[in-house]
Amino acid sequence: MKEEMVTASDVKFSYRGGELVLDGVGLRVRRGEILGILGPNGSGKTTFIKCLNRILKPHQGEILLQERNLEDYSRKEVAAKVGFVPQRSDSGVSSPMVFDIVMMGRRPHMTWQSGKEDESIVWAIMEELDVAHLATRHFNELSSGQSQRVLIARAIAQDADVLLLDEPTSNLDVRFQMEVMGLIRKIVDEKNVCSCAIVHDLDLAMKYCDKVILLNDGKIRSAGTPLEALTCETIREVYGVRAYIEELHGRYRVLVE
Amino acid sequence: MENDKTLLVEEERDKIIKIKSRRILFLVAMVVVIFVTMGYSFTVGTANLTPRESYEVLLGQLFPDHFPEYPPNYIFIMMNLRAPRVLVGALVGAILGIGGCIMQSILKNPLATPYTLGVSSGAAVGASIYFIFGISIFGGHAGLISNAFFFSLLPVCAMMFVLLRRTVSAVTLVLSGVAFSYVFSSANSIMQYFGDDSAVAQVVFWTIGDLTSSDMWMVPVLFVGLVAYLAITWYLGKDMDIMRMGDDTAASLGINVNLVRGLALVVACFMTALAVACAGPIGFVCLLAPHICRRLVGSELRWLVPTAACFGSILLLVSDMIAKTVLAPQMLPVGAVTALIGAPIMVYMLYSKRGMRS
Repeated sequence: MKEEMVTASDVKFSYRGGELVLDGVGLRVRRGEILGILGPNGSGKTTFIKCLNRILKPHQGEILLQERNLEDYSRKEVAAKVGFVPQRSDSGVSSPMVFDIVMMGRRPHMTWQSGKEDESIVWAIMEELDVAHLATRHFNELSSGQSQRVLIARAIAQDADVLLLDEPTSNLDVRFQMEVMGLIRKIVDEKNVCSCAIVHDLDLAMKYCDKVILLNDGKIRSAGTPLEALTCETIREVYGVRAYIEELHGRYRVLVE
Repeated sequence: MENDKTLLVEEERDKIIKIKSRRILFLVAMVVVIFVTMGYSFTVGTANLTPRESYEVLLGQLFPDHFPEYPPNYIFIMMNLRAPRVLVGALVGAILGIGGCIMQSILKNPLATPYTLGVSSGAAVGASIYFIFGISIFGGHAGLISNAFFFSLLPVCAMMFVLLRRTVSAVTLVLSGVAFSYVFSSANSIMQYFGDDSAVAQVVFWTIGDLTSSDMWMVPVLFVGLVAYLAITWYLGKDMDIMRMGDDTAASLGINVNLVRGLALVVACFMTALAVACAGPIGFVCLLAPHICRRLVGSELRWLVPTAACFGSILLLVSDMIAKTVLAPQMLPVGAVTALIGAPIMVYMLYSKRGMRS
């Protein structure tokens, strides 16, 4: 059995003492796995993913990172282990160069200045993700697909074992969706890391995720392999649509009526 | 195809090296220009001193044995009027330039300056209280400076009080700063309504910003402040750069977002308050310096801040020389000149295609 990277159990969270956004959710990810977090808008997916790298602190429940309580890590230690790609990144007054953005990923590993080693790591990762030819471009000049690749490159430059991705495929066309998910699959396999990704597209989840959890109103409706968790009943219950799971050319797809 | 890409990547590597050396070049050039402008400023004034006499008087104060002795009125002109004016001008300009960089970055707003958070309007209230009611913490001229200083820190103190308890978004900070400014300016209007004419005129003149009340004792205070200011912004620079990508991204990279933001706001407002207390709320330097320098060295704060500091210095020194000479022997307040020469430069830079994109 591979090493358990993140284990969360009975996590509860609410914003400013309001209603519970997360009500006893949990998950378990091992090295080499992609876990898809699914659920309708407002079901607590983003909140949950932010709890996993301590941007938000749950009121209750336990989150273990490599079998050690997340609370016991320092800020920098968490940053060196968990990379995060948020859904939107705005850069304010003027946007930085691609090179500088990927270099930001080295922040948890440097004290004062970036060194030669950081630079060569950044170049290597940029070439790997095919953004090196954009190095001096400004972030706001990139297409959605390119900027998503740049942000993923930054998370990889962080040298993290856990990649948290908040809707990595939003705003992308069909081809880029496949490309980005394929890229994540490749990174997870090659670097033997793991990833928790919020995915909206049920087909993409079927194809690329090893496991999924399906959230509804801050609770877990179902969990397991995509085939186990995404059934006609669970989809109807959570999304309120009728759907069928069909096999086509050896792949399972979700057909929404 | 594959070859094309490698070629492109090589080009990008070269470009980055070029960008880096360009930054160094601009910064060094700016420092040289500051010293040249300062050197020339010492010789400019309404009194009829030749440049040679000006320098001999100045150097004579440092090395009395090596230079001829000049009459006391010459020494007074150089040591009490010109030298403090030039030195305070250079330091205040630098401090104002840095404040703009920090605020625009932290508040993610191209119009933000420490003045946006009420520093200048607070200082004006302090000055009004001093001029109209004669109330101040200390007596004499120190009363004006101390009043301006303490009142300009009121808004940021109030904001810190809130920031320590909960997270506040950039937009909320800007809006509450604007609200503070309105409160202060109406307080000011009410005081001016009751004040006598000469006092009101003094207030109005003070709020334009002027270097005539510069004093030698301000120089070491501002200098030490500026050095500390540069050191702190250098230390926080990388983190502030990352925070521009969003608070969540910054937090996920191990940055204590609230601490960095709070510290940067307090330091910037404190230093700007110090500069405003010495020279009045000189406008536009805070806004102009970061925008122009971003075109020259890019938006990375570790480069932008020192460059903007230099630019602020140069702008204020040049404005002051114009203020001293254009209607001589009448002197214009320097605050009226900074925007007059600064704004056209800014408009030109914004519309011209040259320089780094932003």
